[in-house]
Amino acid sequence: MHFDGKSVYAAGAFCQGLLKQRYFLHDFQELINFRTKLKKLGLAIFYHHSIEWLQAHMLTCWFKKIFHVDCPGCGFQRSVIDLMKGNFSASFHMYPATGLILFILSFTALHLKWNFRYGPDILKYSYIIAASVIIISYLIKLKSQHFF
Amino acid sequence: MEPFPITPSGRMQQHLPSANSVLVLGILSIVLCCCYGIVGCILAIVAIILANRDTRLFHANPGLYTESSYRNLRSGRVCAIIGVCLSALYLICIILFVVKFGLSVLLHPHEMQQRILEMQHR
Repeated sequence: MHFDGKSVYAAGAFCQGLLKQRYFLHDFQELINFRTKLKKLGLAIFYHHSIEWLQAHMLTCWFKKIFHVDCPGCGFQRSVIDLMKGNFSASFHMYPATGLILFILSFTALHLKWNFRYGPDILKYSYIIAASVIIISYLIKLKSQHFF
Repeated sequence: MEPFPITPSGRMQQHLPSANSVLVLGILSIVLCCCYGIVGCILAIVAIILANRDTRLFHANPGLYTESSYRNLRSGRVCAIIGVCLSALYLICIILFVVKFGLSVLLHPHEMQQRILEMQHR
């Protein structure tokens, strides 16, 4: 048996099922703790596997492949992976607009669901800031590569 | 979604038909403009066309449509305009590269890389 995220999570869920059938009514609190620990462990392993999967399936930038120069979007995937690993500063140095872009995407989904009062304005201004951050960081990147 | 308000004349207001899709297309255009340029360009242009149509609809009959959907539409239009600018810049950049180095170099990536490296270490 190998311990991937799904099977450990399933074990946690199985313990939940046992609890519901009242097999282990003694040690109730202990069993709950064990169950939640197993579930958290399963989620953590799943998260780790998903990061590995993302690293193995990165898209190649054809602009960089042909011209040997970074395109305005180069570094986004690497910085998302850094963000998932928790290296915030590395992610910011790789591609400064990542956090803002992810915020815009998630906020758009929430806004379409609940229709916030100032949602459109927040989206508009964060979008303008993200676009300017992308352009400025791209110019700085080109400058640091002695392109001009 | 909030409930549809009722106008003084008694008719129920409705959302503009493509307000949400304009917002989504406008925001996706910036995410995809960095990937391949042309995708973002197409999405943004579609968003702008839809937004113009809906703006005309709203101005023809302002009481019939909700204010919130009109605000969604306007911010989606701004996003799409920025997205089309960025993707157009990206496309122009590619065209400038092709003009500068010639199409034949594109077919031989190795030579291309060498030329750009020469240019960088000038």
